[in-house]
Amino acid sequence: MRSDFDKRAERLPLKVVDSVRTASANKVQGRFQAIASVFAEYDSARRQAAATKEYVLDNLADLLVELEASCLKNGVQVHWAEDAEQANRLILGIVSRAAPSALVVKGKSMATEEIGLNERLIQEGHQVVETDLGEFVVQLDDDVPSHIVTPIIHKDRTDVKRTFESHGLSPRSDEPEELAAVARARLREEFRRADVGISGVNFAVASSGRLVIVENEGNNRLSTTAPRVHIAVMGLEKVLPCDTDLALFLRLLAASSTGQRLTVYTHLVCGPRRPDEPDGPEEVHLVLLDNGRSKILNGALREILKCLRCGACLNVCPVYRQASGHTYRHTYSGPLGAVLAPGLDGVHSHGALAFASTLCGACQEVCPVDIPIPELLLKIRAEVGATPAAPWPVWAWFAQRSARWRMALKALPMVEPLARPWTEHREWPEPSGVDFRRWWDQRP
Amino acid sequence: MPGPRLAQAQVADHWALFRERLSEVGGEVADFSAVADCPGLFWIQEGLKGFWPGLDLAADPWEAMTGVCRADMAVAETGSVLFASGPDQPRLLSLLPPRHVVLLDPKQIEPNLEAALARLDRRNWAIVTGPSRTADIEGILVRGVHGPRELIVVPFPV
Ligand code: SF4
Repeated sequence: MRSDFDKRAERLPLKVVDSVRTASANKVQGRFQAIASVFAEYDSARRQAAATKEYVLDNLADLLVELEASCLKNGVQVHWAEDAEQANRLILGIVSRAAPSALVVKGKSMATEEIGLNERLIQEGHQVVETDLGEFVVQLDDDVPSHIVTPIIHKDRTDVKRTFESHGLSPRSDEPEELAAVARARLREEFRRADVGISGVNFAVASSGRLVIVENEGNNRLSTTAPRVHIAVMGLEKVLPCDTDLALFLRLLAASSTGQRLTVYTHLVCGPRRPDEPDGPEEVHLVLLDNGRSKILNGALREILKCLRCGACLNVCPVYRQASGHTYRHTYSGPLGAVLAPGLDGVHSHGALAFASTLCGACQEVCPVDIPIPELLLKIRAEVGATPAAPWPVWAWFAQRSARWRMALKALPMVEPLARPWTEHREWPEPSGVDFRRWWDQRP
Repeated sequence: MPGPRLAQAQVADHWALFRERLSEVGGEVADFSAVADCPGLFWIQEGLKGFWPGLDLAADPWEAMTGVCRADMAVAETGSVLFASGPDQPRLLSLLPPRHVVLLDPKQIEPNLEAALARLDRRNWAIVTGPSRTADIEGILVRGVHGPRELIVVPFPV
């Protein structure tokens, strides 16, 4: 039985499959080395992180109220958004107040990707520029990210050069160094002119109100420092109790997502520019996005809300590696997406993704907060109900009577063609030549 | 709750470990005298200008080639330097110029991230761990994509 997912994956150009496979294999290696050099007791680190996240989920409402109070004390304006529509309308209001047709620079943010913010802002007459190198290319291509950490994992240098050229940028070569320099020069002008900067949030600390944003390029920091207004958009589940929780999570995130000891830039935003400060935004807004999360919290998939968006489960997943991110047709792809997408949008629109898994368990093994992804996938499968027809009743009918069983064994080679879809990519086991009963009877 | 144990570094003092970790992430250590040799226009923190009276200062910070400021803290374990926004600590100084020179008092080095985080006050802090980088294109490391390409730390005991 071929699903839509399978068909889309099969249509992928070989070049894309190669790019994704090589890049994700390198990331798996990088993660492995980083974890070995950072943690002496990785298992206890991840157990502690999982326990902290468990605590957060158990006390989510209280922590969010505490976060709101801390933010207000810091001078950060807090907005609650129940769904994508409300979030977009809220953000649109802030942007339009900043300038009637504003220039908005954006740092990488999956939450804004999830609510389709860019399209909305553009529809209403604002200009939006993605400033993360990968996201910049995605935007020029009118594409969507294929990986939550590495948005253009499906592209190589010639693709990027071609994209730049078709948008009036003229790199002298397709060296990554040159391509990055071209993007840097182009985006500098935007940072300088921008009215509003929009970012995501990696962690928000309830007790201090600190909004923590991590990145390697510096575009996020530029986006949230140079313009007069900073809007941070965060999924409800990103809250942590105290500042002292940060060290562990910063380390786990850096090691798991990019194989680093620590990400290059960690911004700890604690409010707008003070009167005596030379720069920084005059307004800081925090948008707390629910958009299906509280529904997940009270359901069977609750544990997926522990996710740090590190991308490690994508890199290690044999299905993601072969299928790439676009095949999942959702902002969140890979094992994480196969759970989160149906969680957010309902099993009826994305439940089929739960079948795009071999249940090998590699995702849970690399997950820095030990999310039992295979178990969650099984729960979704059970709910969707459409388990692919299992051959067990047929097997049972033959196995119950010895005569039928003997007949079945004899007929086995004849049914081989039925198993073609399976054997195309796998070995059909060679029979040893003698069946067990005969061997038993004839044993010396 | 005590945190999980980290891999132990085989280095005696904080400065030596800081130096080693900084170079791992692509930063370098230089002498005070090296600052004046940097080419191009400068953006220097007000309080430090007196040390280099003759340098060409950029009228427009966006045009500066070298930014010079003091670090407010550092972390040995990760090779990070920290900056807290304030009247004499523009946030963009550590970001706009392609070369960033950081004066660090070795006494300001905390052994690890936990100790540094415990010392944060309510200003806006940035933890900077090496020069700006990306690996978005074919996983190949490129430095200086948006922030500085060079991060130079100068020991500067007060
Ligand atoms: S599910 Fe776990 S491994 Fe996957 S992105 Fe989230 S935190 Fe990372």
